[in-house]
Amino acid sequence: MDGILNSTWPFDRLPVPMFQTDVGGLIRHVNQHWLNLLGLDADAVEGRPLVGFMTARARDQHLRTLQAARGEVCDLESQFLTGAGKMIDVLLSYSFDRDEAGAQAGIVGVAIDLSIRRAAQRAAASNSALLESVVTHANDAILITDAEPIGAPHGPRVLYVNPAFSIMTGYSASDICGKTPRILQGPKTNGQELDRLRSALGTWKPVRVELVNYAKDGAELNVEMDISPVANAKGDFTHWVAIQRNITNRREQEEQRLRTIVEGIPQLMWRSRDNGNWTWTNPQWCSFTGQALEESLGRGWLDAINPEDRAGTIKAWRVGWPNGLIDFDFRVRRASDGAYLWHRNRATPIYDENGRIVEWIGTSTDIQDLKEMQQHQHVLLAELQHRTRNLLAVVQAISGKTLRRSISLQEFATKFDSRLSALSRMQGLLARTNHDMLDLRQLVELELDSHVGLDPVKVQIGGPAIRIGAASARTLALALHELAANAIKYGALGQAAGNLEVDWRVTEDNGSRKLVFDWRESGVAMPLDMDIQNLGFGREILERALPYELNASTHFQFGPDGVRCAISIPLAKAPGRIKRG
Amino acid sequence: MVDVQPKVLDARRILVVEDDYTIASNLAKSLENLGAVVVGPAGSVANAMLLIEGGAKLDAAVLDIHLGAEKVYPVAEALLTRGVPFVFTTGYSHASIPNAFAKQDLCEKPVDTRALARLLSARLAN
Repeated sequence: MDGILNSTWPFDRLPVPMFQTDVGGLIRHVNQHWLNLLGLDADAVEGRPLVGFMTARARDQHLRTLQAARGEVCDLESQFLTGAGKMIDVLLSYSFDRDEAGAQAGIVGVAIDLSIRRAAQRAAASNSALLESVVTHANDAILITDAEPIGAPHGPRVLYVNPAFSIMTGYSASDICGKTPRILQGPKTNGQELDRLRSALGTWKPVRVELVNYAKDGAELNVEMDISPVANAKGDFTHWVAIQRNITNRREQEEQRLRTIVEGIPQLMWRSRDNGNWTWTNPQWCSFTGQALEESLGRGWLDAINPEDRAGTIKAWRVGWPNGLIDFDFRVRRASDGAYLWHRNRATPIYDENGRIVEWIGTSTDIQDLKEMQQHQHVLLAELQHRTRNLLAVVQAISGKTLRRSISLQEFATKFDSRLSALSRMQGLLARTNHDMLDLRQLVELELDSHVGLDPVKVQIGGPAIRIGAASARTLALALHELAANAIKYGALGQAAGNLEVDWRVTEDNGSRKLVFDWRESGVAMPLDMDIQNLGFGREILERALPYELNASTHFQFGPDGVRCAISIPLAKAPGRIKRG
Repeated sequence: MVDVQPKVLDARRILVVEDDYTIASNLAKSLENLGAVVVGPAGSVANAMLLIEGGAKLDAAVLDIHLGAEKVYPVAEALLTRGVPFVFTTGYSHASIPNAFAKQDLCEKPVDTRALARLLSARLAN
């Protein structure tokens, strides 16, 4: 041991851990790599027995191997202990040193660090145990088959099924391994899905299908299946792995949800063949029409349709539906009261793979309110037409009458204009109320206000609230206008001392009710040059139009200090109303 | 201002049924200007029937269809029975007139007096 470690050793620079012992197994040389591998300093190694750096099991193996080697090169797997006490897997190769005389002098060893590879192996083993545990305990059924043959009648053989598969299908591993997965299929297994499955498998593509499979006891299972090919390290496909989930419950929930919607919506629903033969109606149809489900099927539903709408409905089905949409209206008989209510029908077609219509799924929606509103709108429109034309006829008549009483066009223009304004004010008042009645006070105030303003000192208005119909109001408004126009020109509204009282009351005499309306002017210096022509139209309205239209009686007189006019209008039975259509 | 017109309805006795006084009296005046003798005007079915059943001599009639809440059809029927021609007037543009009167002439309001006079004289000529 003469300072060997400090002398040059031929293997010092080699990038593999190496060591040399004497014939007694004590370390003579180690290189730096060996020291690095074990995490030791040269001082701690020098002259120590090599086996002192091995685990107990490795030590025994080491000694047995050396004995058995009989001087030949040998390999063994061994374990060194590092300075930190950690175990390192190594592959050792020994060659035997000989002295000049050929006697055995010791060994030269090369160590290859196996610890990284071992760790990977250990991890792989533990991974595969983990995977196995997952597969075994998975809730999804897992089935593994050979990769081929796919097209053959028996298909690939089943190699493995997990316990979940056995629980789901009732087939134990021994029941099914070695057989074809096709024993799971049955009459309701969807052929289209199977075709999709086969074509995916034929091209080594993963696929998800929904199938009806059958358990060992024949029970139907709705399964969703994910099938993937598995390849080996070389990329050759060796297996198929099929993971199946039982979606029977999910299906049932979805169907339950759909049923809840179909039975809960306010629409009547139906399914029909393309010829109008219905194959299904929802409970709402049956309860609305009083038909039993069977009665509504085929053409039975037509019995619930208004006879007037049947021919058109049948024809529409025969002719077919443009744009691939059903959209038509008919009246359906309501069982509870026999009323026919308008329904709007909408349906969309379901096509087969050749693009032919298999059936229609349709709804019938109650649109009675809509139809009634439309009808009401037509009535209103016609009524508006009528009133507009009538009003024009009135304007025409007023113009004719004014023309006949006018000396000049100038006079005509002035009078016609003012009468048209009175009509227009009344019409405006009518437009501002949302019904067909006008408040008498409003009518009076509007007319007087438009001429002189409502000065309470000069004009007193009083009377109970009373509403009058639009047609009556027009003539009354014209009468008021003529009285007011006359009062401005000759009477109380045109003279400083003049005063006007307008009031009304409702009287009752032997069950007949009357509106008594008084116009009293006072303080008026009566003119001598009163234009009788001008009064003509006003008095005609008061003394002829009011009696003609409202059965009114009018008393008009020139008092000593102003005009007096009393109008008595019979009222209809409804209290407080004069109504004329 | 009175315009002078040919007396196409010379001395013909024409019943006017119209519930609006202003329209009725203006129409009456227009017809009188054409030489007619106006019977009425009547503002209701009852008043019109009084005139007809009272034996008034009538050559023709002008009937407003809507008289307030009632319709003029009973009057029209009575006139048909008596062979008195008439013309309807109405503010509705598409009046739903009963089939019995489908062949009768119709004037839309406001009435063009000359057109009305032409219809009346055509009826009277038959």
